[in-house]
Amino acid sequence: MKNPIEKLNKVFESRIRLGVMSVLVVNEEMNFKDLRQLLEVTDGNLATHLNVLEENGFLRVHKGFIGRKTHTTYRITPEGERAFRSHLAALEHMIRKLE
Amino acid sequence: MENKPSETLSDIRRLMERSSRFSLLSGYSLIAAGICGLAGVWQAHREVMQWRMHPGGEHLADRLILTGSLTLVAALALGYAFTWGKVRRQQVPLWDAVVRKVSIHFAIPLFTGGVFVVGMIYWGQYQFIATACLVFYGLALVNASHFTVRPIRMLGLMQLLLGFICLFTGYNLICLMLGFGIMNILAGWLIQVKKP
Repeated sequence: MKNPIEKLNKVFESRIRLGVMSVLVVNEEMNFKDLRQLLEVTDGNLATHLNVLEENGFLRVHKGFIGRKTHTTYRITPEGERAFRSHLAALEHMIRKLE
Repeated sequence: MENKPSETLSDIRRLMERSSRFSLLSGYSLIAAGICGLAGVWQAHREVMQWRMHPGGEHLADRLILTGSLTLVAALALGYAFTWGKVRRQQVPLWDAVVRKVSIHFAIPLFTGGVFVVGMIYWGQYQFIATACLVFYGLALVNASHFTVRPIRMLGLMQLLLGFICLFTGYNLICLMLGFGIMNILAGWLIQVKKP
């Protein structure tokens, strides 16, 4: 029998990373502050997780300025969306198995 | 695994919902706006009646424009106040990403309508002001409905329908009363009742 966990993406094991993906899949783009507010995490924590997602090519970062303040926005990439959807499918599959 | 898959899925669902829809719109906001609408239409009706009895008096159009503007300001202020109260009780920030999105999508057609109406007043064309108010308000609601509670879409479509009826029948006050008054109150009641 195939291992059901095998299809789950390791990158999404963290709740925060999965949370970021959930938000970005329904919002065209999101800035750092709004993400932090939605996920209720600290700056450093969020930044670390965003880096991991970026390194995996799941999101695209756009660094800009509003006046002198940095304004960083994030978008999901097509790969990110694919990975997220197949992770969801795997989760659903697991739930059905449990029932 | 950190969590059970079912918990993880409901987490995901919650975040998607919270980040894309403003669900805290208070039904009382719409009810209050609707009552303002009814009061405004009633006042306008009185002014028209008065003018018919004494046509020589003040310029009717100016009085109606004043009544309309005051109604709009009162409706927006009360509408905002009820929703603000609800948001504060939930202790979430009022001006987050979703609220910005809803506000912008609502404001663009509404502002366009406002400019249009001011333009019509400028050229002394009062005939289609009621229609324009209903149609642009309807478009604003439909546009914002993608990011907020369900009944808003239906409310917007009803305003559009009343706008069309108004355009071809000329029953301005009746359509305004139904649209800005009754429909707002009904939608507000629906939102309030449907809440868990």
